[in-house]
Amino acid sequence: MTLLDFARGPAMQIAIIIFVVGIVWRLVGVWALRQKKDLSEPRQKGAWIGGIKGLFVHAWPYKPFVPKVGTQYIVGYVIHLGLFIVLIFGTPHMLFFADIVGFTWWTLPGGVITAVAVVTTLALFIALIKRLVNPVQRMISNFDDYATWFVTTAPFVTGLMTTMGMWPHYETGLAIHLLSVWLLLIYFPFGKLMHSFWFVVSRYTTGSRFARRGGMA
Amino acid sequence: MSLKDIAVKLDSGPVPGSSETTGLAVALLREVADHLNTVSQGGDRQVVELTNLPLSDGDLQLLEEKLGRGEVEARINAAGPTEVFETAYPGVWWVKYLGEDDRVITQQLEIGTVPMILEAHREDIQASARQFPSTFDELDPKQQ
Amino acid sequence: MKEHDLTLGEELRRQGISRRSFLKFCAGVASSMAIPAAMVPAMADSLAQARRQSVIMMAYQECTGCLESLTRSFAPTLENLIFNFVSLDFQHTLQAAAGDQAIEAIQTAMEENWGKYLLLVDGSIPLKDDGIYSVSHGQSHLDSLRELSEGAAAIVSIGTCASFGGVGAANPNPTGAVGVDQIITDKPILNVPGCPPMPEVMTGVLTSFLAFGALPEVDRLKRPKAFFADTIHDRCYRRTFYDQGKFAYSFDDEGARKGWCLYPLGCKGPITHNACATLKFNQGVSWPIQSGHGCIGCSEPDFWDKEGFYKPLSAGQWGTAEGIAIAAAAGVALGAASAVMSRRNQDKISGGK
Repeated sequence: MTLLDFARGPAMQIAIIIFVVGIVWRLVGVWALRQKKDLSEPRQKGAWIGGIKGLFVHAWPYKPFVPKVGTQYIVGYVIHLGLFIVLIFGTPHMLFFADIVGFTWWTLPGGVITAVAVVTTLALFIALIKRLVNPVQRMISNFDDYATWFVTTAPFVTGLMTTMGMWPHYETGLAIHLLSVWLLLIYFPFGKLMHSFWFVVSRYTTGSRFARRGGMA
Repeated sequence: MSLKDIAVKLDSGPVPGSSETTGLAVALLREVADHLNTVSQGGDRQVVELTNLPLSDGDLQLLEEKLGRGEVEARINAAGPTEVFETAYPGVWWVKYLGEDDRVITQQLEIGTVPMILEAHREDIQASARQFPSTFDELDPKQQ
Repeated sequence: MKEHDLTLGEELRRQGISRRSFLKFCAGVASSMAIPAAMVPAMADSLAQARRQSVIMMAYQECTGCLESLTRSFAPTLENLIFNFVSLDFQHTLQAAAGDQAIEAIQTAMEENWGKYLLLVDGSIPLKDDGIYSVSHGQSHLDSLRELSEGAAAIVSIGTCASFGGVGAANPNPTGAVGVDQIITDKPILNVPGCPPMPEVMTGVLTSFLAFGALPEVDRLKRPKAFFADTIHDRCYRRTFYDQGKFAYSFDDEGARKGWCLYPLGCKGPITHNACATLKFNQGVSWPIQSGHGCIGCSEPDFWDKEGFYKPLSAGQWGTAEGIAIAAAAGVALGAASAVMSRRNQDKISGGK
């Protein structure tokens, strides 16, 4: 069995299983926790509207903070948008998902995907540099932060190297790209990448709690 | 739907058979110019291989047009036919090695005094030297 | 004077084949091997100086497709030339002799050319049960290979079966079939894989051996780099459509009719090394992708077992829906257990309120 056979076979299966087990575990584990009952009277009905609002209000910083943290948000959006575009609209990736869900969809030309991936990778490196240069961020950053950065950046770098034919041996390079994605999947449920699920929960909760107390009007 | 509804040819074919030029023809012409300089100053015969390049039909047409035809045309019959012609530029030859059915096996542009395939090899001439006397050995000198 | 004492050039002149034919032959081979065309006269001279090369060709567990392909080299006259250049001392399909006399021919060829003959092997070799599953003239092919390799100068494995095991070795490999280099380890071995291999490759290898006295440079799977260095994807004429994102998603759809890239239809071009993208089959008529079918990877080991010719390369073995469901259920169980523990902790902290 070559490295490529391993990467697109047993390794893929194990990674996906760990990913599913881990995510469900954490989601259920948190959802099933006791919540402190709010014994105060709700100031207005429909706190859930505040919850929904909360999802969007936090999409951009509060005006006074924009000069300070605006760039971080922009870099973040570039990264997430790029990730979304490359993953969903890159043809080899689409075919991978199509094999699982059973239908295909329209994709972008290879050159466009490559350009988006390059921009996203640059944004990832800029984010890392900002984290290292800013004294506060550097102080509060831990292993989780750097590991998350690594497992996100590795698939981009290895993917670009594969599609541009920069590996000495293509099949090995492709296998390394696949393995880097499995690393991401395995790490996902146990670190800061879970923010992909938690951000919905926390923004909604904040919004609805404030709404219950009369804010978010 | 019947058999004749199935397309036999591609609607818009990619490179094989396309009539557009790819810029390769111009690059080849420049290469030939380089070789001509080398050879005209006393250098060895130079060969430009045409077979493995992704030349479109348009490229080949452009080459034929620009190179033109000269004074010499030859057909060799050795292990199948080979066609040679001098282009409008003396010293630039177009050599086509053909298979039995006149299909091109490989073709080259040779820059030199004469293409390799036209030359009679020294060993063949030596064999001729040995065998030639048999043409007149039998003739009776007394009858002359 | 024994035939084998003449050089090739002298011998073929006796048959009326001129040095010009050598030149033409070498021009064709050089073109296919990317040997500089200016080297052709030297190559032809070298070929003419060579001695008639003794070649023994053994067919083991094979389908004869490789031999069929081999005998379609270049064009009829040039093909004859390669068979004129070698002394094909044994080939049980092509030769007229049969039975005991044919086997004697092998023995004679071996003795007369000990240490110098080229052994061409076609077909895989079963190992299971002492190789009983592939036998000729009462001798298992395993024994035959071992016996014949002893005096060979080099061995050329023709086709994917002889190189890597091929279809015989495909899952579940009932005969324990393997390629030649899994059995013979003390002789130079060259693999010419392909299902079937391209005849031009075989011709190039033989001519290389005759003209240069050595087998050509090989990659780590022992395939001649001159033919197997590039992948199909690197040389495919439909590559521009891959880059543009124009694909055929099912046979005979719009993309297929327009000749677009066959990646979604399972083309294994990116991981397959072969020369068919440039040389094509049947003397340049066509090749799978030009005919609208994705590459099946026939010159790579285990190509039969890569889960299907029609599954795209990026669709791997992600498991089963049931497997994922079980994983999700396991996650729920773990989550519930964690929640129970956390709740107990919460109760402890809050003192039961």
